[in-house]
Parts: sequence; structure tokens; C-alpha cells
Amino acid sequence: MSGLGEGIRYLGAGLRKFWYMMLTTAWSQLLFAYGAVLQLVEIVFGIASYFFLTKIFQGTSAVMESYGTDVVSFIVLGLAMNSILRHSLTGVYHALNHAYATRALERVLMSPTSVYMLVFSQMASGYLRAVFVSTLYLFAGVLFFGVSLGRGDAASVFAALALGTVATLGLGMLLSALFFHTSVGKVDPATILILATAVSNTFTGAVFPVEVLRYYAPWLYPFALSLPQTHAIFAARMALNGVSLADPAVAPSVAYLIAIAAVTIPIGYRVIRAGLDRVRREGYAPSVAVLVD
Amino acid sequence: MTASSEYAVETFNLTKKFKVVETLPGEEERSKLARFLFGESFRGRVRVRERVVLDRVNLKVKAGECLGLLGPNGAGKTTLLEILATALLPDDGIAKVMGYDVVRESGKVRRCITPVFPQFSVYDMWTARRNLEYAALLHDVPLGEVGRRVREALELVGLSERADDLVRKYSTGMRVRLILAMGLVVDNPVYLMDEPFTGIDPGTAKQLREFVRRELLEKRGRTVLLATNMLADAEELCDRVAIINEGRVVAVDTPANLKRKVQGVETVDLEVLTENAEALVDAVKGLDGVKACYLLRSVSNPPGVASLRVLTPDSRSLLPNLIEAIHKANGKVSYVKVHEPTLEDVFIHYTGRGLCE
Repeated sequence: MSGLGEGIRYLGAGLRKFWYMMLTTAWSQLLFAYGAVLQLVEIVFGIASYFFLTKIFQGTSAVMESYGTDVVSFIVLGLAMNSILRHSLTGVYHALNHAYATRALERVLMSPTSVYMLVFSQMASGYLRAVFVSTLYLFAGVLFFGVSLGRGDAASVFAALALGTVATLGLGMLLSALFFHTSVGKVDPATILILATAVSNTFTGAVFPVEVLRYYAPWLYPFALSLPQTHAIFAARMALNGVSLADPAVAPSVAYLIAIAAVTIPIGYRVIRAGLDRVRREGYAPSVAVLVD
Repeated sequence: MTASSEYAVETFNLTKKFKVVETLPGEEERSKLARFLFGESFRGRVRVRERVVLDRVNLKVKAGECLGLLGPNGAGKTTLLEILATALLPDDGIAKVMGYDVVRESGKVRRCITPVFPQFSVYDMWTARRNLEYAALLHDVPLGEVGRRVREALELVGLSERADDLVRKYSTGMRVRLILAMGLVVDNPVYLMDEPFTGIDPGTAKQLREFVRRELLEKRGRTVLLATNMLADAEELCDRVAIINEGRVVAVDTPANLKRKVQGVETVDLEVLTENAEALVDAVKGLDGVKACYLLRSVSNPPGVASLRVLTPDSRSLLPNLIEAIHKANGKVSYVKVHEPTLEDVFIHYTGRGLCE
């Protein structure tokens, strides 16, 4: 019993530590809470552009039929899902960069707390924000533009998205290697993140079905299929349409996500560990003259 | 928790090098457009060289002892503390804390140390209490003890009444107290303190030094490694002082013994009315019997007044020549005091330069 009590106390301390770490970033987001209102306005305008664009072309095509939805709903749902997946791709990089810039990384390195707890707590904070943005997309889409959320099983949709989040996270962990090799965090990550985000937005089937690439840019099609986000969004769309994740049309995507996660997460873990060792070997604190101007 | 060792901290030939990146001459001008386009971090062509920050450092610190690491900025004090705190890896040599190797047993070392680094971020938008709770949780203080330790630490550093204020409303002195309290809530046996009293007024600094002496050293029996370039820290707090210069430990002993080592040297302090203090120093350095001469940086001096310190084996025979040389260099002596060497004189004796240079 005392062992159980000890375990509960240990878990309680860990959860509270995790919560405090989340707050170190969530605070800055809460500080700019009015940003949520502006974000909603931005989202409404963004959807409106797509909405009016599709009205010009009357919003139907053969390739859309397999998804069983209209173009505006297709886009809004894709953007909502992509918001979460995009955070998986860039979140580890952001978390490391934030931890480095605020010297929280150095502080954790001197304590028994794992750096991974710091990274994932800050990512959790980002996931909350991403879910919030997704909700805004759905809210604005349903309220102002008559978006249809489908008739499928919500649990299957969440399962597909969760699997996609984990698989993309593995890719994000690999991407974070760039943080450790760009002058140990001195270079603004914006350039790399903009590239990753642009790829994620364009070629993952968030705003148009990737099948379109087969006709207009066939050389890009295999690339789009290699991205885990493409399969996650496809599986979630199918689930929204009432197709089971075990269906032969969807199962290969689910299997691909599992395989990607199984390969990239262990490698990503090692990449981050090697990167942290590099940071500890080469020095990173501003107090150390790593760069002399 | 300790491996078998009679020392709390030991280092053997500890060496650390950093890569230094230098922009090539003329490159700044050449890469103006690139910097405009890609931001200030664009450096153009660079060369990379190695700089030795710690050079075969050997130290032994007994449990319960306070060792001062005295040296100017860039001497390697912080790097040494960061290696002991496991945030940096050494390039060569061995470092142990409570008998645990900082490279191979970093997890165990982290449970033995209390890092007090003022450059650590305190979260301005949090209260002092929450900052302290977070510090305790980071170091795995049991949840049931966190509240008590936080209350005690706040009490000890005199912040109880402001515990629930946001830290952004704190003065610099209160922040220093808070950072010290962040150490107290952790309270592992070896305190690694990096210039903890910098940036506060002398009165508060003295109070905090007394607090560290009374509470940490005498009452709790903690081991303290204190990196500083303030002589008062070393004189008032430290059992022994290690003088560090350009990454090397050039002397380690008690403050009294270190002063004894430069015996046979007298210190002459002068206040001189002059418009060109640097020329005065050059003139004095050329005199027979002058071992060293440097300007003391005194904020209380009005313009046109320089404080000069001269080290000599025999002040009586030097003084007439000294005053004449100052006079010839267009200076006028307004005050003279001869005294025993201070710790700063010891530092100059070993390194050939002042702490503030």
C-alpha cells in the first residue's frame, strides 16, 4: 500500500511539474488572448476566399466524389486537421528553440528532470493551441459557410488523427536535428519552419486531393504519398465519410502511419539525444563566447 | 547519496575548449547586402579556431568547505561550474561531485548539486511562490515537502510578505534573494553559485553573504563553490580561494595564506590630480622598485582625480621618486596610504592584471 501511495505521489509530482512547464509557454499565449479573436477573423477571411473561389468553378469535380463532400467542407476539414499535424512536424523544433532561448534547457540539464519532459510539456501547450485553432476552423466553417462535418464515427476520426500525430511527431523529431546544427540555436528557425509548414500545407491533401497531382505534377505525387500527414488526413476524411479504418481502402494508410512512427520515433529520440550531447560538448550558454563578432 | 570520497568536489586535469567563430577581416563590409536580406546573423566568410577555456584544472574541495573561484570575466569560472553541474561536457580530464563522475554518472551528480545561477530565467509572470515550487519540482523534491520548503526559503530570504506578488514587480535585490531561495528549496549538498551577488547594492550583498555563511555553511554544513570577481565575496565567505586566470588555476589557498605569499610587498594607494591617468601609470611603471602599478576603478572619484595602486618591496625608499615621477607627468598627489597587500594584490601578483581589466 505504501508503495502504491509512493507511486501516486511520484505521479502527482510529475504531473504538476509537467503542468508548470506547460504554463511557461501557455502564459505567453494567454497574455495575448485577444489574438484568439484576431485569429478567428483571419480564419473566416481565409475560408471566405476558398468559398468564393469554389463558387466560380461551382465546386465540383470527379476527384471529389470519392470523398463524398463539397469543396469548401473538404478544405475547412483539411485545414482543421492540418493545424494539429503541422504542430507535430514543427513543435519539437519550436520547443527546443524556446527552451534554448529562455535558458530553460540549461536549467533542466542541471536537474534530474528529463529534457524530453520539458520538450513534450511545451509541445502539449502547442497542441492545446492547435486544437483550439482547429475548433475555430470548424466553428467558423459550420456557422458561416455551411460546412458539413460528415456522418462517420468520431472515435475512428480521432484514432486516425492521433496515429497521424504520432507518426508526424517522429518526422518532427528528425527535423529538430536541424536545430542542433544551425549554430546551436543562434539562427532564427523561421526559414526552416516556413519551408516545413509550406510543404505540410500544400502537399498533404489538406486543401486539395493529392490525386490531382497525378494529372498536373506526377513527379510530386510520390512525394505527397510519402508524407505521413497525407495518410492521416486521408484516413480521417474516410472515417468522417463513414468508412472503417480497417477497410481495404484505408488500411494501407493506417499501416503506413504505424510503420513511419515505428521507424522515425526511435531514430528521432537518438537524434535529439545526440544533439543534446553536442550542445553539452560545444557549449551554448550566452555566457560562453561561442561566437565572437 | 554519495559515492566513497573524502572530497565533495574533485577535478583532475579538467580541460575544456570552445570553437570560436570569427568573421574574416573586411567581410562585414562585403556582406552588407546579404545581412540586409538574411538578417544580422548572416556572417559572411568566417574562420573557426579553438580557445582553451579550462586548462588542466586540478581542484579538491572538502565537504562543508566554501571555495571561492576568483577571476576576471572570461577566466573560465562559469565553464567550470557548468561542467560540475553537468550542463557541459569536458574535453579532457575528470570531474567528480560527491564521488560521482560528471560525465558517466550525470544523473547521480544532478541529485547532489544545487545550482544557483542568476542568469537562469525566473518567470516574471509568475509569483515568487510558484517560481520556487517549480524549482523544487524540477529537482524532484517530494510533493509533500514542497510547500514547507518553499515557506522556509521565503522566510529565510525575507520574501514571505511578497511571496504572492508577480516577480516582474520585484527589485533587483529581491530577484537575487529569490534566486538564492530557488537554491534553498532544492538544498542538495553541493551549492554551485555563479556570481550570486552581482548587481545588488553593497549593503544587501553583505547581508546575503552573512546569510550564506551562517545558514548554508555553519548551520547546514553545505559545500559551496562560489565563482566571483568580487573580493568581498572571497574575503568574507570563502575558506579557500582558487585564483583562475585564462582557464588555469594559478594559486589555491586560504585568503590569509595567499596574502602571506606576497609578503615582502607593500601596497601604496595614491589619489592624484591628473588629466591623463594612463600616462601616469606608464611613468610610474618605469621606476626602479615598482613591481606593479594600476588604476583603481573608483566611481566616487570626481573628474580629474585618479586612484593609483603601486606594489613595491620598499615603500619608504620608493616614495620620493614616486612623487617626483608623478609630478613630472603633470600629476599632483593629494593623498597617500601605505598598507598590507589585499587579495586583489595577490591576484595581480599571480596574473599580472587587475580583476576588472
